[in-house]
Amino acid sequence: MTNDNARERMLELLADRAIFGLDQAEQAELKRLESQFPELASDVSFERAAAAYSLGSLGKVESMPASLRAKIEADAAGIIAREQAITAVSEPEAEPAPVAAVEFRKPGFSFPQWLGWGVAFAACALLVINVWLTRSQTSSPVAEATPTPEATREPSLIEKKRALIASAVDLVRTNWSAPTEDGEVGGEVVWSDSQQQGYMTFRGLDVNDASKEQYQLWIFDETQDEATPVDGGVFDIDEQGEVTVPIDAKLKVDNPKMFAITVEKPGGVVVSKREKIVAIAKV
Amino acid sequence: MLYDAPGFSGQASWFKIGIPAETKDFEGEIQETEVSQTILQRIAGGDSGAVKDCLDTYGGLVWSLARKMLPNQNEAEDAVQEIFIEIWKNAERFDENQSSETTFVAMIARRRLIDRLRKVTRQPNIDSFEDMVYEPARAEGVDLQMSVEAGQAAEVINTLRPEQRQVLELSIVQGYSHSEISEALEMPLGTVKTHARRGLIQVREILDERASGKGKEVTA
Repeated sequence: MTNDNARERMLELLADRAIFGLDQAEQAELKRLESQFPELASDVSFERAAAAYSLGSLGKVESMPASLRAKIEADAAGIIAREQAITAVSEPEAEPAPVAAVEFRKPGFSFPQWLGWGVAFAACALLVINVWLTRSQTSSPVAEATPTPEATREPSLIEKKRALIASAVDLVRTNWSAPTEDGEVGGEVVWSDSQQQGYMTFRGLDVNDASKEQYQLWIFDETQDEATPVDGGVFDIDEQGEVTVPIDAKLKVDNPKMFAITVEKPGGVVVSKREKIVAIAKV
Repeated sequence: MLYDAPGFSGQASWFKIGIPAETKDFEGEIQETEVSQTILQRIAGGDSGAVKDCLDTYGGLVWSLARKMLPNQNEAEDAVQEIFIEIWKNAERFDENQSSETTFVAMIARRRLIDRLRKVTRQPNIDSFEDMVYEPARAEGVDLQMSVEAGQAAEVINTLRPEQRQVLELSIVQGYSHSEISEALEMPLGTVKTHARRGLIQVREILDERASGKGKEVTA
């Protein structure tokens, strides 16, 4: 394929992605082409055009059901707080949140606003800790200016898990077991409330076909009713042996009591019927 | 309740379009810096009150996109929850120089909806195709300040060839796959893709032209 043809093909794939989405083979092809044409890799103009098209022909807008809106609004505080905590750790140079403006907007000081102040305070604390750690570990100005490949490499999941274990003062750590006697699932789960992150290691969990079903984590903590545990995200097991998976909790987790893995339809579910539980880990 | 699209008449819309502070007597004293912030920038900045404004402004839009593209209400409810989680997570990535906030929200929504759609198969209802093709796209009621791209796209849609509009309506608006459209219209798969790509390229080019033209005006 000539360079022009390859570029043309990449544009076709970008258009197809915006209109129809891509299958796995097309995604792999696009990934290969992205390395050839890195200037197009972040091109969202087709997606923007498709979004504009959908808005331009949407017609009437229907109100969202009140119950759905209430659920989304209730879930939002935890998710945003978690995202900001992550941002504060990964981007220590970021400007502090404009909390003064938040205070100015409404005379009553509601819980969400306290939460905003709490997050801002936590972000500042993490910033101070991060800066202190960075400074204390830097041996010379030269080393700071020219980081080694090792320093800039994204840590593996196993390294991240080790770092969490080493740093979390409130680490929860427990082992997986099969819900039935004939099951053979091993491994462990680690979680930190203060960092709102955790990792799972599995041995003996079957490789799944992601187009038919996926594994989904549920976290039972003290803030949620047992009937509605926190969604910990979906994941796949695509190789035998020991596999490490990050936890992607959709809500703030507080003092978890049990973790459970179910098998669900691709993409996961909002509420599990718990028909196929493959692993549990009690704290 | 139904209301006109896409004015998204939540009271927070002025945060995006920057109405002068003195016209907002219902909010009392508000600092100038705050007025210029979009809803997503406020979310990224830790303003928890922005969540309500975001749902007021974009809740109906996201819900309507989901209902148009997904086969049933349960699917739509699950999808809308996922979409707003993505919006909370990606709020800080919004760049008002790249797109309007409405279009950014719609982009996030479409990505999630397409992911879901690829896992389900539907049978397109082709009975209304003819009416749809010849019915002008809705440009009226579009708040151009709220989503410039949407207004421009509505204009461009009317300039597309009927077969391009037909395929884009079924794919982008109603969420059908190229194979589903091919089967329903008895049109070769390659032709479906070609119509879709050419139509979208036309929309994209005009949006780019308008954006660059606007940039020149500002520079001059």
